[in-house]
Amino acid sequence: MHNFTLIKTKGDPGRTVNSLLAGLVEKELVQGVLTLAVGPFSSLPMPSLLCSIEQIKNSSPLAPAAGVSAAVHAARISRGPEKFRTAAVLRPCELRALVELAKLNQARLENLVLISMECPGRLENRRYLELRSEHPDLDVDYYLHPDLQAEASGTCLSCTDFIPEYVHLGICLLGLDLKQEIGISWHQEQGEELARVMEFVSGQESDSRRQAIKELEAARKNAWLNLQEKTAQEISTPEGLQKAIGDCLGCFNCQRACPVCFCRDCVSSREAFEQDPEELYDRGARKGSLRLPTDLTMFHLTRLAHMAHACVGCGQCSSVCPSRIPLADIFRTTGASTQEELGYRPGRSPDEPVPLVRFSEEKDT
Amino acid sequence: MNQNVRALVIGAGISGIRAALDLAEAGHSVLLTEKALAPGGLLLSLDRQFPDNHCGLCRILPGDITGRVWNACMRRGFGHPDIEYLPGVEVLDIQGTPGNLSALMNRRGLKVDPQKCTGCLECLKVCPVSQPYPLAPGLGQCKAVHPSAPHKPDNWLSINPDACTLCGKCMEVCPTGAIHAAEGNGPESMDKLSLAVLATGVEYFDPQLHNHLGCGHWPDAITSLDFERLISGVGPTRGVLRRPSDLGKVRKAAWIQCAGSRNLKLNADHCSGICCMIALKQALLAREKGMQCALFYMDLRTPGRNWQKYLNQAQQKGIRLIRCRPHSIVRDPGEDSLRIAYAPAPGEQRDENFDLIVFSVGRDPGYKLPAWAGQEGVIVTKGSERVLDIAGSLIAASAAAGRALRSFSDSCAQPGGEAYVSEHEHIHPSVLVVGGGPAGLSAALSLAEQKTQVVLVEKKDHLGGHAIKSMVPEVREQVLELRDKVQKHPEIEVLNEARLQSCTGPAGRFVARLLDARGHKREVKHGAAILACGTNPSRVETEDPRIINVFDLPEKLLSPDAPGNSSGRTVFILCSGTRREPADYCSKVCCQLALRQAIEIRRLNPESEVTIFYRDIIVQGDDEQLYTRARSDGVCFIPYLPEKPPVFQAGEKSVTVQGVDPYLKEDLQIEADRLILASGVIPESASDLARIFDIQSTEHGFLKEADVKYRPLDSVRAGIFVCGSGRNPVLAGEAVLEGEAAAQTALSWLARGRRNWPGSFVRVKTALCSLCAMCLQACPFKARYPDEHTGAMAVDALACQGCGACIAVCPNKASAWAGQEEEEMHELE
Amino acid sequence: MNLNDAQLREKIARGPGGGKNSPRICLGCGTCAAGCPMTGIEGFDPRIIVRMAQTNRFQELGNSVLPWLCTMCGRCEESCPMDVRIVSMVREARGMGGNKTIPEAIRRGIEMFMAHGNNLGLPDEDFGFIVEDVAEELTEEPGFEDFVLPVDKEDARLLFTLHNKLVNTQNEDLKHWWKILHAAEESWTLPGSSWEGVNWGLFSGQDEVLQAGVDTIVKNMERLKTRGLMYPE
Repeated sequence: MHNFTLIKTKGDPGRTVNSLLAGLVEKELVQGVLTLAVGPFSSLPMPSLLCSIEQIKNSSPLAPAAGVSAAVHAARISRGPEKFRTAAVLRPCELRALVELAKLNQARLENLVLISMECPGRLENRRYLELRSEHPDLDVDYYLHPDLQAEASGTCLSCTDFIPEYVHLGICLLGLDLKQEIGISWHQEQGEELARVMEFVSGQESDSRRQAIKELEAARKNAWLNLQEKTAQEISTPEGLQKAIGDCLGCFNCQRACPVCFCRDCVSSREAFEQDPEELYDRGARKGSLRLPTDLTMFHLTRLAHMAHACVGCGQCSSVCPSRIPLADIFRTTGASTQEELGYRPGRSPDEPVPLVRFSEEKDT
Repeated sequence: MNQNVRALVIGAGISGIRAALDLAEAGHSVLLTEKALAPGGLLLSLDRQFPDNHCGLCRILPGDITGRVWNACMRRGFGHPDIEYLPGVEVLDIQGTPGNLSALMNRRGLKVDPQKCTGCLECLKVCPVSQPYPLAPGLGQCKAVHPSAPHKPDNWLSINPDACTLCGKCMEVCPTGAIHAAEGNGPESMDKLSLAVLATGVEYFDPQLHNHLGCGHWPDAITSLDFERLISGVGPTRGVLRRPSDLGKVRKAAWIQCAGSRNLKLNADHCSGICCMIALKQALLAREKGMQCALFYMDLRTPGRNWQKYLNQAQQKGIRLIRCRPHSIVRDPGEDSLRIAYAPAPGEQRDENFDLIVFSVGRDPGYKLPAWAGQEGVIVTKGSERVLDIAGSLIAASAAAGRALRSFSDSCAQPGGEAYVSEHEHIHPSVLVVGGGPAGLSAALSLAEQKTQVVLVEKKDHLGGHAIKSMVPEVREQVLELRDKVQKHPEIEVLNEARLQSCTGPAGRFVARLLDARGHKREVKHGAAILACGTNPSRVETEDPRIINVFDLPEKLLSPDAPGNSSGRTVFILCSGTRREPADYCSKVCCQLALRQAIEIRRLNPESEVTIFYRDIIVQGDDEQLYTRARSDGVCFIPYLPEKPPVFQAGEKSVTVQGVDPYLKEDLQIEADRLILASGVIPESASDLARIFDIQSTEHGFLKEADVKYRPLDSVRAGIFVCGSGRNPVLAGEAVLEGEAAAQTALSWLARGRRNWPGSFVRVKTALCSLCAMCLQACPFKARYPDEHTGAMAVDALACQGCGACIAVCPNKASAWAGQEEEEMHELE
Repeated sequence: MNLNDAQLREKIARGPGGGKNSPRICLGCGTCAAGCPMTGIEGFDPRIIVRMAQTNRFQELGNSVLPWLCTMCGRCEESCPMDVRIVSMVREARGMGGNKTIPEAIRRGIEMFMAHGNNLGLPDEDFGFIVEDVAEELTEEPGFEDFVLPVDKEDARLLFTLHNKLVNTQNEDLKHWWKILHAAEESWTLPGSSWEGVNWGLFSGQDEVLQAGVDTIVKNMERLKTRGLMYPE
């Protein structure tokens, strides 16, 4: 790739990235940066809108955590007037989700500089905090120690989409000694413009880096296929599916956490899902007993119908589920086969139309 | 509504229903009579319809009177408050003058009261009369009292007055007294009719009667109309293909085209035009059921943009298309199937057995219109003169209604058009016509003569399109006359050399922006637009003056002043650039044009040699006589296969054309003095217009209609109509008809403005809407748009056709049916 | 035939028998070929006949064997939707070949006829002997003892012409006719000469032969003053 450069990190890759981000604001290319930062009252890095250089320089863009999916926040911020341009630093899955939201008028990509990193995975929130107390330098160590990376969320360990696609600037972390250097790649017209302004000098990618990426791809692909097979088998029957989601509490955390579930007021919270007491008794009498809240399978199926095509595999749904239901596995597996049928890949490009509206009986069956 | 106008429409098939609706929507009261006891005419038998071969019965099903039913549904004809439907009435004569006609009507026979009939079928058991089953005479017999239609509308049982002997046994056994004599048996006169429209269709050739090909003996030789019943899911065999003779399985079926046409011995020098398509459809349906199918033809007539693909499909699905006419049908002793003798190639004679033989029948050569049809004040639909397909019938019916209204308003000085035009705020009472060719001129004039304001926009500096230079005098004259009338009419503003740039605005309140002849900007507000942009001849890429595009063959080449120019050898190559990708459609106009030119060359110079290489000679109706005449006049016709077209090379002395004579199985080489290529037409302006008006265009760039059968002149957007060659290649006369019909359709749309429009089908719960705009993308009718005021998506009520796609696609039910909330739905229980 | 090229074309264009059903009007539909008993035999196909007529190659057709493969059964004409008179066309073509293409047996028969009044070339005297012999045999049968063979009898109602077979190898069959005529007490006569009933001018396409055949019969009828003709072919 000739749109690639290496920057010396002098032992602190996080600071290198912070400087880069600060530079964007200093050069007035953007008015603010959306990235992970720890706050005065929080220890978990959360998406934050940073407007001052100082705050940017103290942020944690490389933290292997995502308390929530930042996609939704990037989307909302982007809908402001044109004078507010933001550099959004997102994980690849968050970026894909953002592209999907843009197709539905929930985000205006023209107001954003899209930055994303090569992502070996994120740690679940609690695990991140635990490990951070053991490793104060977790944000750097994570990229240098495979045994730390092995602690990433289950979803991440079977993720094959760890290299960002629709992006302006990419932060390259794989196959490099981050204590020495990190890589920056630039894409699209906007990326090239940024590279020019930031005065990046094109460099070469080493074979060892390419090799490392290849190996990771292979391992992840294997894990993903196995997961798909296992999950598909489990949920291939109605009983199987119901068993898989059997402990659902109806808290709708998953719907709230999902970045591509964009509805302001989900149908699950309204009339269609509010049964009147007569009907409850009717059902209870027929079956003998009725678990409440009811219609939860219906809820998950509805959500699948609405957004399986757009599932970007971020795993937030599994992360937030109090009953530890492997929702991400279910949604990713169903999503993958839906996406294959329709020839659709979520997040690939904002110009690719949503299959729900362009489906044609002639062409697609 | 003008109560003084009483229109009589004779025939409640699809044409009659359409004409009646058009007249009713113009505000007139209509009497719709039908000889049979169930409406729907021929369409009652045709349940599988082109292009997807799905069932189309529901479109014609007469049902209960419903309030808001979608436009295309023919049921509206019966629900309309201004239409009085009279079944079982035959019109025997019409007398009088326009404005004061009287019709002699005969109410026929015994009737079954649908309110009292329980369907117990006791009457069937006692009826002594056996008659051929009216919907499919070749398939067997039924009683005089029988189900009138294959489905269950109001009038399920009816009694055929021609067969009924009035014995009265059915009346005796009927438990509810549902059977009674028709009121006032015997003819009676219906007076003070303003006008009449004849929409009875034609009579079809009966091969059994003529013992065509010796079929008279064989019950397994049936007509295409019989076959429709055989394959219908509600037909006598429930769609299972069985031989009528012994109900044996049908493994192989054959279609024999041109039964009763293209036959001088039967005095049938005509083509019925649509039998080829019907046969292909039937063969495809049979093929689906696993039959082996063969089709015997001479020319496969699939004109226009849609039908070539259908033919390709048939070939791909393995239907054998055998290019010859069979000799006779026999049944050998001891065999249960029929044998056909045919000769597909010179020196090759074959015998083949088929279980079922289907004659593709067209108009009976002996068919004539009733004598009173020529009366002034009686408008005859084209569908009553020759066979038309569904779309053609609808177009002809609307055109006839239009002509009726215009002629009436002429002679009686009654303002027929005032009913349409009103200052309702939703629909601007004027029409923009784009294109000044025969279709556009005809549309503009029809509208103007019904007191509607028109702005006619034309790209060139003159009106008349290509037709004004036609070599057919009748065509030229017709277009010139149209042009003159348009230019003189006070309601029409003509803008020549105008360039359309954009058209915006919600349905009925369109605003077109254009540059006029001097380059100045103009804005034209209009309530409806009729797009009649036509096509252009495709180019023949050559500098050689001897190789000429058939459309360019100038008259001077044929004129007596330059006799040398028509001497020598002329070769035509038809389909030289079309009917294969990228222009895989038939341009329709080239064959008849080439025939006329060939005839003319031979006439001017009897020493000349004219040869026409062709794939199929595609002419319809009476244009078949052009083909007969060309042959009689000595034009030599050489068919070629698409895989092996004739090749030509321009040499110094002549253009060498090489081909194969399939009858003599010889290579042949002609040193031609001129070579005329028919490379078809291309819709150059159509895709631009489609973009400007935001409607669909086809893969080849033609304007796309909303439904290729039932709404041939509507585009997918309410208020925007398409007609003429820009939609589908047509001859000039047909374009004029389409213009008239489009005008009528536009007028019905304008009339909506004055009626109580019930409001939108769909509503938006603005609080829930997240502006994702999937509804906008899903809506085929461009009826959804973002509303700045509410911060949510909104519905253009006039454009919305109630399809529900936006409701289906909205994830949180922000889009919902108006008036159909869950509570309301539950209340229905 | 001594028509020049243009005249020939015109004749063909007008069609045998004249009128609208010239070969030009042929659609190439193949109905004729489908019903023709000779299609495919030695490359025969009625479409070829018509096509060659259409393309001004009629002389070529006449010079070929094709017109002689046709049996003139008429199945083609009967079924042709364009009412093309194919049989007449075949006959016309046969005539154009001249003596070169006429099959030997027919050519010889015509020669005999033109010279001797019958296809066998049988002298009148021999004819007389043969029929008298058969007549005598008939009188030996019960019921026909009084049978008298009328030859050259004047004023009879019917003139009988004979198929030459009946005077050659199958003269026994004559008796069948004569028994019927005798029992019906019919008034009839054989001509003593020019008794041939089979006019091969019909097959050869030679109008002059056809004419000659008809002429001899007419002359006989005039000479014998018969009122009707019994024609076996």
